[in-house]
Amino acid sequence: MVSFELLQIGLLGDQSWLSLLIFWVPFIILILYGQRIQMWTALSQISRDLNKLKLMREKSRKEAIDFVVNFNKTQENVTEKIDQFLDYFTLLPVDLDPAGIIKKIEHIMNVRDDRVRAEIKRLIPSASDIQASNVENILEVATSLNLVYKVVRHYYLLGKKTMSLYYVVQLQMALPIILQEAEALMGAIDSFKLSQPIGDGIGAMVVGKMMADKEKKVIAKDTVMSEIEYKGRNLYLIKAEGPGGNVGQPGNAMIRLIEEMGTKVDAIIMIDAALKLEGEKTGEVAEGVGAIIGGIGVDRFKIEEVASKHNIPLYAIAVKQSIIEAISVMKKEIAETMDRVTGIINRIIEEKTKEGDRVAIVGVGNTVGISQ
Amino acid sequence: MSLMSNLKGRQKSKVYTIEECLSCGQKTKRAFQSGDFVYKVGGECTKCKGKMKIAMIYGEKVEE
Repeated sequence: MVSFELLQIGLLGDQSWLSLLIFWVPFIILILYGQRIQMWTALSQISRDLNKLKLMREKSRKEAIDFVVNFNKTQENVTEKIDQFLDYFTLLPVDLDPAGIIKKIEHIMNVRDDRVRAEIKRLIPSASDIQASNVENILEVATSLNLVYKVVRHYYLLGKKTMSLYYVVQLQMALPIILQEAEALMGAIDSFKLSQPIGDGIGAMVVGKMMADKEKKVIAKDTVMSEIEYKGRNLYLIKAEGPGGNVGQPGNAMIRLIEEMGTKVDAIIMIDAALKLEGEKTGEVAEGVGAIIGGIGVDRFKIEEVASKHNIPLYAIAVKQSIIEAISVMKKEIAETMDRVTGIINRIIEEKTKEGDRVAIVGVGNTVGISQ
Repeated sequence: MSLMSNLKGRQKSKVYTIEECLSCGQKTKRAFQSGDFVYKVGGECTKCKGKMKIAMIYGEKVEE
């Protein structure tokens, strides 16, 4: 009714300047420049978010420099070296012919890890292995934030240069998630600096408790194993070696246990943090089957390979949490799932195996601040 | 500056260390100290003078 009256004023009634200004001028402006206005508002929103990312990048860089200077007591070369680290990149192998790609990925990741560790040792020779792995984690966070900032800036400038609405709105739509992940990375720095457990370490914490006071041996790089007995079954407990920030090599550990040591394993139980869906509660525990392990995929591939080759059932226990919770200091709700998860492990052992069986239990996750 | 204070505000949580006595099982909750890690055996039980082991370290949101 109202719009009809307005139309009447515009078309049939007095063509006053006022009606022209109120209705037709904005209407024509929006028709002609609507897309451009949308572009400006999107660009200004992106610019604000880009500034937030820039601040996060600068803060993480400063934290990394301060942490290293704290060991060295000198700033000489540190800033320059850290800046070099921030631009350090890893090229994944070509996947046009994917056969055998896992081996190539593993090789490249090992070269990268060895090089980063050697550089850190050179930068802070006095640091212990735990401190060195914490520095490695802090640098990894700072490098990720640097990369995120640069990629977002690239698309922002590209959108601005080409004035392409499609570039700009795609970036605007992706930015809330990107910002959320960047904030999660910022939260991780404090945990790595102080060697505090993070949400991702819940699997390692559960298995670490079972391993406490037992003899441990190194079974793969940065990975330890203990043997215990539970209701007539032999349990092989595997986790990354803590309390430094490691994820270990559970894939290689399983291959060593089953193929090199010739242990006949009857079941594999894996415990890890899993990303919750919106609406799910932090600390919910879910059970399933399959190899529950994140990362680039090398360890998952190896565990699946060895399990299928030897026909070993894989049981998975997931502790739900958000991406922010997974890489920030462990929340109370997550830490308190320990007894529940241990209960589920015991139930699976009792229900799915019999006396005399051998069960491998793998606590997956970053073991920062968690010993064994 | 305001952006950075926003970032800091979102991350505010206090970290606690939960210790458990290996002899009497008494649990204590204290603020996290540098050098603490889960399953570290260290402190002395206030009740029985037994050895304490760190059972958990976790963060709780601080109301501001």
